[in-house]
Amino acid sequence: MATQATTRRRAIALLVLTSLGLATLSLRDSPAIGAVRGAFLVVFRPFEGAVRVVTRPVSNAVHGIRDYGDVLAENEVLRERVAQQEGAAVAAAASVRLAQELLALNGLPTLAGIGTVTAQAIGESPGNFAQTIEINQGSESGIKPGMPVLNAAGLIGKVVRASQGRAVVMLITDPDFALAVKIVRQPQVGTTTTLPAERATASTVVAVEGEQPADGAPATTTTTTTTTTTIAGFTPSVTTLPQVPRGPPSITVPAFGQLAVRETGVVEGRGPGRLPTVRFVSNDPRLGDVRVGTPIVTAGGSRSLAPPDVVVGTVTRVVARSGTAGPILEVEPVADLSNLSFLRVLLYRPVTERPAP
Amino acid sequence: MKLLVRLLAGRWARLVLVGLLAAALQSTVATDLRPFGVAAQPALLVAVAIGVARGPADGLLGGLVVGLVADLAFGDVVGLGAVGLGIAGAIAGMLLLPLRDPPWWTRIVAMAAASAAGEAIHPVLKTLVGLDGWVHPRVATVAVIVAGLHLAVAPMALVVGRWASSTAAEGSG
Repeated sequence: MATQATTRRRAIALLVLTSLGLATLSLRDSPAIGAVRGAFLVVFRPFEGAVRVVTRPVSNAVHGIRDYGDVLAENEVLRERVAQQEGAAVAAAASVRLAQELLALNGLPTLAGIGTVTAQAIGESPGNFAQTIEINQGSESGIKPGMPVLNAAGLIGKVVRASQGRAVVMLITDPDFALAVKIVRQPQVGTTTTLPAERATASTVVAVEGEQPADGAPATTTTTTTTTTTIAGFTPSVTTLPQVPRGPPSITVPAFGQLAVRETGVVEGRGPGRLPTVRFVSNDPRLGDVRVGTPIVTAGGSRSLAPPDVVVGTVTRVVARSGTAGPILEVEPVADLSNLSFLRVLLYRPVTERPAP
Repeated sequence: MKLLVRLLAGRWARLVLVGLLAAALQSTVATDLRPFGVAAQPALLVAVAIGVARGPADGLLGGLVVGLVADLAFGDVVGLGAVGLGIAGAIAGMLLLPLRDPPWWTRIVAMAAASAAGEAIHPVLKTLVGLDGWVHPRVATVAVIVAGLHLAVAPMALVVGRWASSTAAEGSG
């Protein structure tokens, strides 16, 4: 009996030390942990597959009972939305192609030049304290930790582990997620300068909201609603030639104040049920306001794990702070993170992490 | 067949096997169903079942083994979940120490309470190693829901926990 207790004590001590050692190595991203996990998963995957086959009817039955009504209602809404967006999608695709061609012509990086791997989300995090999903593509497809993952709407997260045939993606809502982003600020006043052949003239074209006219009369607000049912400027079966410019040639140059100012910050996750925030934004009124609805895109750069200009989300709340501390922005991701299916992994590595030729 | 029987007679082999089964259930059906948005934790349930069935020392031992298996399968920090499950198993065993001959329902309640404690420990451990952001009021909600889910399947888990942690003599006898 005493021998058994001694053996048990030794086993506990050994296991505790092993666990703490493994945790230390794991936190330091040791390759040894990856190798051990890879070997373990070779045994575990078939086991898991068998359990999945056995338990799938149970899951399907529960989902059938619990979610049938919701799925029907969602299907109706989605049909309506698809019909609305079919026309807009054609125009948007043309604009995206045009923008990519312009960026390529100017030697600027575009997503079109980056290889992608299409994957499917096959599971959520088994724990309640991790915001991750599992996808059905892994290291054999060239996926490596750190690569950004998108769906049709925008950025959803980054790869944190890749093994044979599987990879784990950390969502942008995970508290461990952080990424440099750009905030496209809105200009306050804009001036368009037209430069004819000989002389230049300037005129203010953007009115300041709430500004009183010079004669003291109260300002009036006119709201105009335009409903577009087809693609703007497009009439089926009609070819329209562009207008021939008349008069002396001129170049229209928007003034600095009219251009959107792009400023960098860091988007950080805050866990389930809470929106990610953007911090480290400058509190400089000269740069313009950050308003609700302002788009947030990735910043890119030689050290960033994501290429520039991938859409992340829009600002839903601006929390102003006193002094020189800039505002904190709450961001609504454009991607619906609760309903992920087909995803794209960008095979992108920043310049600093590429192997030397 | 004889080899399999002899292998299963060993306590360690049974613990690993039950750990594999619990991890597989956790990454499949438990993750898929998520009542109230919270996933049940079969690996944690097995750890507390061993603690209730055999006492704090065996609960700690069983939790460490099952936790290591679960960590290797899907844990974000390998070893951290094992420590958490070990503590939960020990807590489960300690809850019944004051009772000389605990009735069956106290074992079930102890398993649910230890499950809640084990689930709440995990974010605390993450914070201790520098992974901030998980300790907030939601942890209490998650712990209560996990306790409720485990309460429903605790009797079955108790049988599994008792078998997994039994010694060779008990297993054959």
